[in-house]
Amino acid sequence: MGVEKDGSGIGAMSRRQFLGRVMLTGAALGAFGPLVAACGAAGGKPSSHTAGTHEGRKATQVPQRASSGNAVTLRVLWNDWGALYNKYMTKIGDDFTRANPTIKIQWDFSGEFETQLLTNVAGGRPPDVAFTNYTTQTALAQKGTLIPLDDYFKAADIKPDDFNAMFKYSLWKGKSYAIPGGADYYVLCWSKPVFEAVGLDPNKPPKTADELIEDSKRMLKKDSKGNIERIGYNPVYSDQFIRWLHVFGGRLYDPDTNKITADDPHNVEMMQWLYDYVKLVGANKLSTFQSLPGGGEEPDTGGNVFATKRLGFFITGFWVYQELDQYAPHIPYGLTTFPTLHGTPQERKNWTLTGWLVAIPSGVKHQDESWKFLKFAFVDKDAEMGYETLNGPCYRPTFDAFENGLRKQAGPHDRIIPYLDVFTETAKYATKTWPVIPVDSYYDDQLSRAYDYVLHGKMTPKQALSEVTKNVQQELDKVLTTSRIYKGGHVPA
Amino acid sequence: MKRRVSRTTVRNTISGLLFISPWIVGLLVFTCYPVFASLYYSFTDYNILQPPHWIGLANYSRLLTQDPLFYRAVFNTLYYAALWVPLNIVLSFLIALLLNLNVRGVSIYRTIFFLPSIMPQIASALLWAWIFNPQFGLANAILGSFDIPTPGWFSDPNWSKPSLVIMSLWGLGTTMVIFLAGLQDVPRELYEAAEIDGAGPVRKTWNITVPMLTPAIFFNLVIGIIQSFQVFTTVYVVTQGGPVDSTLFYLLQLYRNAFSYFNMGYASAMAWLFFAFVLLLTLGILKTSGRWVYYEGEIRK
Repeated sequence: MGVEKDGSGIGAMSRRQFLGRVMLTGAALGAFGPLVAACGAAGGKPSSHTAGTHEGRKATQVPQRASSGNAVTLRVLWNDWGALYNKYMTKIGDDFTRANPTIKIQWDFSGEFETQLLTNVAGGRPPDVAFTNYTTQTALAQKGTLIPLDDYFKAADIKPDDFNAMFKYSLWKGKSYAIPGGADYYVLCWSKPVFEAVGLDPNKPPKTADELIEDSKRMLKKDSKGNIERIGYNPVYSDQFIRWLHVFGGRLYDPDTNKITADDPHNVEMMQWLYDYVKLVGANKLSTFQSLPGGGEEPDTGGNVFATKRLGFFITGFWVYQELDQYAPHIPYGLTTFPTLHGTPQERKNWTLTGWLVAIPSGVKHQDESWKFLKFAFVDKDAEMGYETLNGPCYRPTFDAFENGLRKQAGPHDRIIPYLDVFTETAKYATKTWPVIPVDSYYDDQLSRAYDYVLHGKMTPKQALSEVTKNVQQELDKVLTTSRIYKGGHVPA
Repeated sequence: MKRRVSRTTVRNTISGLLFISPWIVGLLVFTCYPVFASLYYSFTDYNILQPPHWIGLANYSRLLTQDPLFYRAVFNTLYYAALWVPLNIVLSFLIALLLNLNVRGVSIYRTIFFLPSIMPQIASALLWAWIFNPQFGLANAILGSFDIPTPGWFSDPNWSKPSLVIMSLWGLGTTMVIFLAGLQDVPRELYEAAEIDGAGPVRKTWNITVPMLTPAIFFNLVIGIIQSFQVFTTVYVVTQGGPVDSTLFYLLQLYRNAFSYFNMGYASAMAWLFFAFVLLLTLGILKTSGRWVYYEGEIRK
């Protein structure tokens, strides 16, 4: 069908053309939106400090120690914990400046600290000190983004054994690329009123995984539509899955063969064990319960399910005392160590540590000053940092001071006081960590997916974990091959 | 004889260019450079932190032949677009018709319907997460009071995408305003002529309003398709791709590859496939527009 101009001042064709062009421009810009987003970080050339380096070799060889004695300001890129805890962290920085008047700390709190670190490094403007998560630490170290700290550790007479298992996350190819910052010492919190309501002894928490499930089954109460009115343990949070995995003797990676072992028989057994429990309720109902107001992982809102006696157990850290004091002040609770298979002291090594680290990016101008701050905050003042910001310290000599500090901070009558040793026991004996490989984040997501599929009955644990093994192995091989390309200038046969 | 350009013209041109230079620089630096850089990166193995390594079409090949999540994300995105785009247009059109009636307080109604579209997406997403909570949410409370079966909404893999569609429809204000503007531009004499011929409200709407609004429908269709393919914020906040990948949309997968897995080259390839698809779709719609879009004053043979 043809169209012709009507002879008026502005022709119909011109309007059509105009609109057509607007559409095309819109389509182009619309589609370029994600493109721009995708390459926003890629806009600049890789940092000259990292370009061409492999696993931080260049940074190791050319430490830029620009201590001039003049006043310097360190930009510290930090995870945004919210105003309250950021304030405590800022206080540590102020104390540091008081002790070192020539070094000021400029805090850069960011909820997207990982993305920001990537873009900062790619743009050649890395922060002087960077917060890293255990899931990305190895990838950053492997790509030469961080400087090794071994010389600093040695000079300060700090040995790897001075830290707990969190130190493993700092390692890549035998070198340490971060200082452990804070650890999550996860323990089991139980509700004494819920224990009493179902006829359990409120002073006898479960010590084994099976006891936890048996107690939880007694606590389970549903309404006529199958909705959960009360539950013992809600296992929907995928990061808890990792902790159970080690308890069952499973493992995720074999460093000797460089193989991903997500489908290790113990892992499969553990996932089946969780699934058998979830089947009693249904994954959708558990997710629904989780999305209730106050149904989240922590009792950090008014009317939460723990405060309203609808939850028997949850896994948490020592920060919980503030939350419970504020949002469940009338609920007597207890804390015990993470359950194991048989409840023996020997199994304490199967507890898992996760947390965050602090690193110095390659190419920063004030490495020595940055290290000074790291040592001050996470060695000298580690206990204080821990109890003030509610993070588990990782430097062993400070554990007792941390416990005492927390005791003082909570007050002598706080309900947490009788249970403080539960955390230090976890800190001392836990040895398991997430695999220290440069595809941790991908592995994490893959396992979460697998867990989701299994809980919804879409895959068996064996199927789901085999798929994870295949996918992550492929990704790991790719990343390590890329690494070899940078090292040797060619892809090895 | 070559015509000389006057000094004034040159000066005006330079002044004009200088005035728009911030925009030109911004376009070149913040849009053009990243866009074309990403095209290059899409042919490389690039992790942001190390120099890109040329691998030719390997990213595209891996996307199309080895990545099951890519197809899952494509399916979810197309499913969402297929539901959201027509519903968005039809509902916006119907609401615009109602808001075009000459009733008392119509400006207030217009404001009420437009308001959600200027609400921050994250606030809106959190609000709807509460409305759709299967146990205590408003939606199930209403359905339950009529003994209608209550879905699991975001918690249920079968309902998660329709839930997102319903949630997004809440923000149809922008589309509605475009229709409303178009409605007010329809000449009154056409309706009067139809009334003289005995046409009722339905006939007038179908034979006058709809054809006269086809340019607006066309515009909203293309923009709607582009918008629906870009769904990200709500998914990132509310479902994070779950349950069982049922809300794993294209841009979420692209974002994860780029910023969580350090696969910027791969993510760039995803972005370019996305761009090519959206461009082809838009060109296709543009090509069909000659058959169904009418412009006022246009004479058709």
